[in-house]
Amino acid sequence: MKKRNKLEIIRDILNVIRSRNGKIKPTHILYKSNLSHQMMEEYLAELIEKQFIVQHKTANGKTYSITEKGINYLNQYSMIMDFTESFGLS
Amino acid sequence: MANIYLVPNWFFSYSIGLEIAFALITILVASYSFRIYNLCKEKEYKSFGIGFIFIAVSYLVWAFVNLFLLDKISSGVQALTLQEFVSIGSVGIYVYMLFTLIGLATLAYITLKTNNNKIYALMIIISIVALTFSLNKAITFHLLSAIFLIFLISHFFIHYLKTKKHKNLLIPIAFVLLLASHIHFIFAINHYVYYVAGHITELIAYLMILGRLILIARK
Repeated sequence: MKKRNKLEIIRDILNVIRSRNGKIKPTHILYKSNLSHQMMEEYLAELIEKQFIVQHKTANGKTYSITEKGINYLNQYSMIMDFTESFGLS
Repeated sequence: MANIYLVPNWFFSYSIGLEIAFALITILVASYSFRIYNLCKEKEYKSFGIGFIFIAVSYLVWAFVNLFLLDKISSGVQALTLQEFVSIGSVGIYVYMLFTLIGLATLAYITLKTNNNKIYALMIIISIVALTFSLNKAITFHLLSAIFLIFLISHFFIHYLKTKKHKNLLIPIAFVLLLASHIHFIFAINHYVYYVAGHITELIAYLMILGRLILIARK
């Protein structure tokens, strides 16, 4: 299996969150994104910092939802990847 | 600064047009890179865009210096002494060389995939010092550019071999042509034909980069 690069992992995490049409628990993200717990935490922290996702704290624990910026990233993903592969970035 | 290029009179205005075209294409690459930076907030796209902005500015400086000199030649160089005329040309070419080297060093640094600013500073300082204190700035400039370009070409080819997508061959081939243009410009010190050949090779390279950008824009 081909190793995913960072942009692909971000796409996968955002797709999982978007597929839930709203809020998703970290355990679901962990299961669907095929990452270690530590890696997932790092990626989630980065995505929050980039304002791609928002963290919600509830009585049952943390949930995440995708933002407009995150949706924009997914919509432009193929263009981003094409540019990245052409110039050997990432 | 000794002789840098022999430029045929008939090509002078064409070369200005080409330099402006090269600047516009490199600005386009930079704007794409900044657009992607805004989408994914990855620092390397910002640096990549900055690298191309340096190269774009270098072409604009070259074009405007040539435009200025062309204007003075056509008006009989009445307002300037010959020494002033040569000085302006030399300073303009020096700024062009400096900006091109900083641009290429920035692009080469990105391919290192490291986040060490000291390495970047070292690459820039060595390039500036080598160019500033060189007796033959033209040869030093083209050699340094060739080193950075060879580095970039090898990176692009290795990346192509990993992805095996033929459309990704356009960029390494374009950079091979840019390397060839620098070799032409070395010989342009002695014969103007190489100055024309260098520009034509560069034009083909930038058209390939533009073609690849158009394909990306269709996504």
